Amino acid sequence: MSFGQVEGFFLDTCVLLPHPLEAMSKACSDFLKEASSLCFLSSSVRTEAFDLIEQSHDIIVVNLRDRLKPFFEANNIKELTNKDGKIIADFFSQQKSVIKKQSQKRSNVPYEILGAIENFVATSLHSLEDGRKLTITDFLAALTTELAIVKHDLEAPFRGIKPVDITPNDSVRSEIIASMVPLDLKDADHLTSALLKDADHLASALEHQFRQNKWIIFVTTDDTHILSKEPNLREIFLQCSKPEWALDYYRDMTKTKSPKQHICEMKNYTQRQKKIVNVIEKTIGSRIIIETK
Amino acid sequence: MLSLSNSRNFDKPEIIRSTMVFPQRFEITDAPISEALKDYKTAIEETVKANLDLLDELPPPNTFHIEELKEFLKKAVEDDLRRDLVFEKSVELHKYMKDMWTSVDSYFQEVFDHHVNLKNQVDTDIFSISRMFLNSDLPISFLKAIENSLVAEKDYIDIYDKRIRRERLELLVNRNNRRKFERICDTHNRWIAPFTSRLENLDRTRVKMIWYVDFNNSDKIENIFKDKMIKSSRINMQILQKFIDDLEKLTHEIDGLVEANMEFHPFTSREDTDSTRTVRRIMDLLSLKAEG
Repeated sequence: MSFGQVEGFFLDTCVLLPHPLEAMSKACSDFLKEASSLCFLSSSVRTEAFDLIEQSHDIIVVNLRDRLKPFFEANNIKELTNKDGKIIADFFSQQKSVIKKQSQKRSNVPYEILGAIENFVATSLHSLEDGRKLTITDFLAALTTELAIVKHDLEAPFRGIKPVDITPNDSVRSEIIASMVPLDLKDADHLTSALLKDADHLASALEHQFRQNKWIIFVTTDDTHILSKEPNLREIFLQCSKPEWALDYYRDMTKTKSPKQHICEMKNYTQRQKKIVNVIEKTIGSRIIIETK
Repeated sequence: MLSLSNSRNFDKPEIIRSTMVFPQRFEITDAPISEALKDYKTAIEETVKANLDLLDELPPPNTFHIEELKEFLKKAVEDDLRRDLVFEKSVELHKYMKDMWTSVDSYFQEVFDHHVNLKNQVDTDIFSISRMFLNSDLPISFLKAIENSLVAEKDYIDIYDKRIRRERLELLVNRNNRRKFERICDTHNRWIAPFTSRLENLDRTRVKMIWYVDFNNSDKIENIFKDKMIKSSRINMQILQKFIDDLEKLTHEIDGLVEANMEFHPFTSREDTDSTRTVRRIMDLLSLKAEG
């Protein structure tokens, strides 16, 4: 019998990205300061994050070249001074609606990037000395360079967390979806790409937990799609938590037996638990319930 | 290549600079002379040759005779290197490195300062390539492949700098113990080995791709390395895609090596980084006094 079988935390994309609420950003930052060495990043989270950042970067760069540059040319603006802030302000205002149409709805990343660039432009323009001018080409090149820097800064946290190369089994993923979506809503319309991505992240954590036979806590700030389903996910042996409480769950789990032993010693199983154990057994190729009984 | 504080020249040619290839090995007194370039003149000759050799790896340009291009490139590279203070410092450091045994402390101070200049230079390179992209109809994958490769180099400089700050202390402590000193050098050289050829290939592939686009979009040989409109119709997009794929593959390999050595830093809020300050300085240097 062994206790203290906790592997650590699997992080959701939102934990490592900037958050619009300051309190939430602080909660993530405090948690990561304390626990980053115990954190893991699944392949699906990494891919989602990098795609999100890259897509937002691309939309803005292409718009700088294909919209802002022609706009300057059409208005015969060849140089900018510290008095031309209004022109740029109008462009950024329009960009927000363009980005809203083009980017993924549930992400804050495009606005974060645009906000950082807008701030950079405003500060840079205002700090130009009176009477000095910057050519449009140099101005746009500076913006594009700053965009590359912002993109790199956003990606950096994802590169400092231990990666776990895992493609979750389809059956595990299906069981996760079954736990998250009520039975009467399981038609294709409700299986949004966001839900499928969440299912990938959660299934990766669950599968890894049983392969290692060590508990995993899935850390997320996503109330709407994940934390609201926490009881259902806990039922199938995946603990989810907000960053604020993740270390408390961790401490509790160090007093718990390993996942396989814990399941073996359970007296009753729900239908859903029987099903997930069956799926996990097939996926990892070893018995759980009968193993020690 | 010129450091920001010393130049306003942002039309510098994209060339390979063999003495600046990272990472540097640690050598002690009896290191083979071929490991480090002998002197500044030799460094320039070898770098010019390396660039001319790289030209042979490109598909022949559509617009110029190859001999004419070689002659132009030879002069452009020579002229640029002679103006390039970072290159000159790089050569000096290679010479210094051979004598590291007796001058550990001053050597490292020079190296750390050099890293700051190199990172500034990478930001300047991103600025130059952004300008090229904005005057083009090239796909965004061209810009990103180059940006990502440059950022990978910068990340490498960061982890290398952190590592040798630790190693410097060990070397200083063991400067009177030749055997331990050598062991630290060996460990360092083993650590850098996987990076060496990859970083060199990365540099070569990036420069080849930029040359391919630039040369075939220059009507006259004098327009090479100058601002101009870049049209994708003047190049073979399949060849460009191959360059992009090769560069991405190499960047991915280096990213993997770098990430294994990276420390975690959470993203909190955007504040001015050294890079942002560099971009602001570029803007400042490029701004012109208004007429009247």
